[in-house]
Amino acid sequence: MSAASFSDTPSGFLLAARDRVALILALAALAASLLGAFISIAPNRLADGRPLSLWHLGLAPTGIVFAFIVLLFVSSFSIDERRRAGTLFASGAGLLISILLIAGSAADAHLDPQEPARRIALGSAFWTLLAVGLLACFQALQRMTMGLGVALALALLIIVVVILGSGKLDSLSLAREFHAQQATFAIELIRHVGLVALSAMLAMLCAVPLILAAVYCPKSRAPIFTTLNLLQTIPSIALFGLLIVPLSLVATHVPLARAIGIGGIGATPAVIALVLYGLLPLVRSADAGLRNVPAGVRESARGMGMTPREIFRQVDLPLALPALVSGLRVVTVQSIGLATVAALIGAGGLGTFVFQGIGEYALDLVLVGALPTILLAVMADALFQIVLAILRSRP
Amino acid sequence: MIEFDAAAKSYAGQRVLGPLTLSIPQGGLCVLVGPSGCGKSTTLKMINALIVPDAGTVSTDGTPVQSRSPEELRRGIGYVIQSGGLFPHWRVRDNIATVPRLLRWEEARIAARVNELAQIVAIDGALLDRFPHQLSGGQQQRIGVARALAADPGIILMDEPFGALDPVTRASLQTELARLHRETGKTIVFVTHDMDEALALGTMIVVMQKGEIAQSGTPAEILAQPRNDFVRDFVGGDDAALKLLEFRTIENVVRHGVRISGDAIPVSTTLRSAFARMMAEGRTALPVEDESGLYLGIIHIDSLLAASKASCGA
Amino acid sequence: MAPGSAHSLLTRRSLFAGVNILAVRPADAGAPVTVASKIDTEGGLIGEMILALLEAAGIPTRNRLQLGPTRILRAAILSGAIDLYPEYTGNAALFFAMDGDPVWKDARAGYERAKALDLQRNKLVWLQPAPADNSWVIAMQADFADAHRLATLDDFARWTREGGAVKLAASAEFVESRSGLPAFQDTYGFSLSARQLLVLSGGNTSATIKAAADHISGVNAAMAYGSDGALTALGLRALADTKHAQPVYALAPVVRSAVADAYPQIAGMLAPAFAALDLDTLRGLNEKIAIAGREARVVARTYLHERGLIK
Repeated sequence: MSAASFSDTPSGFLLAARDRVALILALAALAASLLGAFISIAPNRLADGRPLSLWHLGLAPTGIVFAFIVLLFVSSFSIDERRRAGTLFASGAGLLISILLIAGSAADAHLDPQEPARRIALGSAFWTLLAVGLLACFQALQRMTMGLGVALALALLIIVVVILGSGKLDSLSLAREFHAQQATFAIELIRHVGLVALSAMLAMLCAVPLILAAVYCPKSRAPIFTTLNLLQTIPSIALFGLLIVPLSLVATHVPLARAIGIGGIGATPAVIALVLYGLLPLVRSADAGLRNVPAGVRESARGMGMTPREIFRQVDLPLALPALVSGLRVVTVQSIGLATVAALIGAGGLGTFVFQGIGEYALDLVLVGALPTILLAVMADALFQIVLAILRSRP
Repeated sequence: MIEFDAAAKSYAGQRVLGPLTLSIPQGGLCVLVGPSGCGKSTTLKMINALIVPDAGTVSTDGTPVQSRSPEELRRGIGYVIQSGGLFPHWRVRDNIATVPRLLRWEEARIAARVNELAQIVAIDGALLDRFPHQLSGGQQQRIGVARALAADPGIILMDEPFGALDPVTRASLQTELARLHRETGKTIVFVTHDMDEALALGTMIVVMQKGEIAQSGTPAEILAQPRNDFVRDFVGGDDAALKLLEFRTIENVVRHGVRISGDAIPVSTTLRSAFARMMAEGRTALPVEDESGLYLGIIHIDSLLAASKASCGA
Repeated sequence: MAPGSAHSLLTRRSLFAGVNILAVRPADAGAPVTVASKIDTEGGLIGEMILALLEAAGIPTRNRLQLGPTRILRAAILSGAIDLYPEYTGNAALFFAMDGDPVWKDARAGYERAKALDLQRNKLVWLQPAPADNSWVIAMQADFADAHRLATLDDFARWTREGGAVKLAASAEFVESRSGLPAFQDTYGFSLSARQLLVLSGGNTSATIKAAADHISGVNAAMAYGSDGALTALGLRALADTKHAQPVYALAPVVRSAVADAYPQIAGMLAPAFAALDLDTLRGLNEKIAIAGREARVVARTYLHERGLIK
């Protein structure tokens, strides 16, 4: 059926969109900005806020946001692939930048020197528009060449960083929570990244013998995968907790262990737990990668007179590398999320802000921990995607 | 010279091969042929010790295969498998250089050898810097052959190398392989399940059935005197008579002195070509000349029939 | 240099960077004192005060504030991973598994018992405590309490027994610990069913107070601490514990004796600050952080400065 015949009814007209995702995003943005609160104003940090919709903030902000939503809407009907990607990115980026600036100036306008405890929090409309903007940008970037995509992504990132750094958003509750934690934020961020990096490296080391056993010793496959699957089912907080007792015993009875910092709380149980969770994705992907090396390739390597070690290093390993890297990607992204829970056992990290915020019922403080965690995960994911793309471009 | 002396192989108590005694002469192109599961690949892989016999010995040039380190042995034997088995992550150039690198040749010598091999297997030099997946199946198989030839081994093993190719590419590669064999004088052991391929290539054919040798000999011997029903069926039953015509020339059946008109055929023409020519021209006799174009006599259909009947041994 | 060696150096360095945080250090004079606190508002406030006071005395410090819940802090100081953190005397009942003992209901005797036990068994020194009794309380919305004439826990018990529709938001620790809800129930003679409880796994009271103030999930009563800043701000009132069902929870810095010996001036530095922390002061400071949203660090330092405890 042709697109034209769809256009006879209003719903048919929507079905004629070339890019359904962009269309859905536009409709979501429209609904959110009409129905949801853009910001809310609370007398203090704990009390509930009075919601303000986008149109309460004035004609200009409403007009700008709606203009970008219309652009997004139009982009979904654009026939030319490249033009559609360009429009999509422009509308997404425009939406992102404009809502940041609007939220910042609205917060400035509603600050009251008489009420220093007043909090201006971001509402559901803001977050929905933020998500729509980001998704539109990601969608658009995926359809562009890698060079252009990276350049545009960097440009947008720089603009956002400049806005965040300019102080235009400092009146928002989220920014105030961040500034209150500024002294420790960098330390906790480094701690978080350190936990993830250390555990990913150790997980790789620990995975090597398991991978070799699983691939080259068929009898050990079942017990290895059963154990790793079982480990994966233990809730993270329980695993962290379970490790405290045995590690404390080790620390008490082995002076050397204590001397190098092994203890029942802090980084040690956190790293061990993250390593245990990391093993399954690593072993599973490496196993798949190695088993997918064509039998003929391996046989001809043997027939050429390669030793088992040469076959592993020159044939198996390079051919399984993309699978290994995608396993590492899963582990890294997973660990970035799981490491937040480690704050509960004294390992610090961004989870400190999350749990402090949950305890104090301060959602913006939760976000001070959660948003950078999400950002870290997305960045790590993007980095691994690029590495994988490079690896796959060379067979 | 490759010799099997009562070599046998069992898996889980089930005898899959032998005991097998076989001698492949130096410089021969020996084709192991038979249906799948007959043990022809197992036999081949015993030569480069990819499979080790449970009993008996396999030796090359008088030295038992198992007395040498398997890697050292294999580096001295070329090996080609179906679909090439090329390393997908290495450029064509590096694929060809596999064994020289394992033998730690100098890079300059390797580079020279790779270019030389590209000419031998008729591969465009521009393809050397591509990856295997960028090549056609036929090109990949030529690279597989070049890789096997790289370190100039005395023996080359080929395990159904042309099995996955289309008939046209396959025929041209068969021709090339026959030429290579003539030019290099290497001992080639070739596994196939296709009798026509075996007949087209082999100087010696070993027909295998259920892990044993059903019959071995020259193509003409196999065609003319199949030892049992299995071999007879496998070589094509009554078609064997037609195929056999390919292996004899008209030289011994020319009637000298008789003279007829028409384009003469050379005395080196096979019986089969002479038959085809008669059918094409609708004649019962054709004039024959020698290599220098001198008129020899005629070939008559009765002589052809008598000759083919005689060579069929019936 | 081979490429591999640079990499392994980096790995080794980051390995140590990771574990050093919690390594046990000899308590030499000159070595930094690792100050920690619980992951809640008051932990942040008191921790910042201790840091400010130590820094003012020229003692090097390491900041591990908001380290985790109580048992993590306790494990950390026992293993020597941290040197100093503020603890409540009432919690000693849990540490020494003596929560039935009446000694904890007496501020002076409870403190002395905790101090003696910890010094003898764990080489931990309890320094000068604060006068504020930050024990658990049950709080209700002020107008609701007025309407039902609920001023004391006796009133609350009577009302509950008579079928008053109570729903209490509380931490798991409060519900399970013998000195928590069970102590209230035994002393005042009431009993709450599982359906009358909303149990939150975190220990912080902002969530329970907020739940009671906003009637989230039908909650109308909240577990809180006596020093909670949010109580008055959100219109809640603590019901009076006239029969002293609760042990006394007085804040005191707990320090490893090796560190106390290396820095004997710590005790004298912290004593006046803790001595000044009565319930109203503590509540006021907590409110500035939890409600007004000011930085714990600023609140702590401003307070100490105003009291003339730091310059």
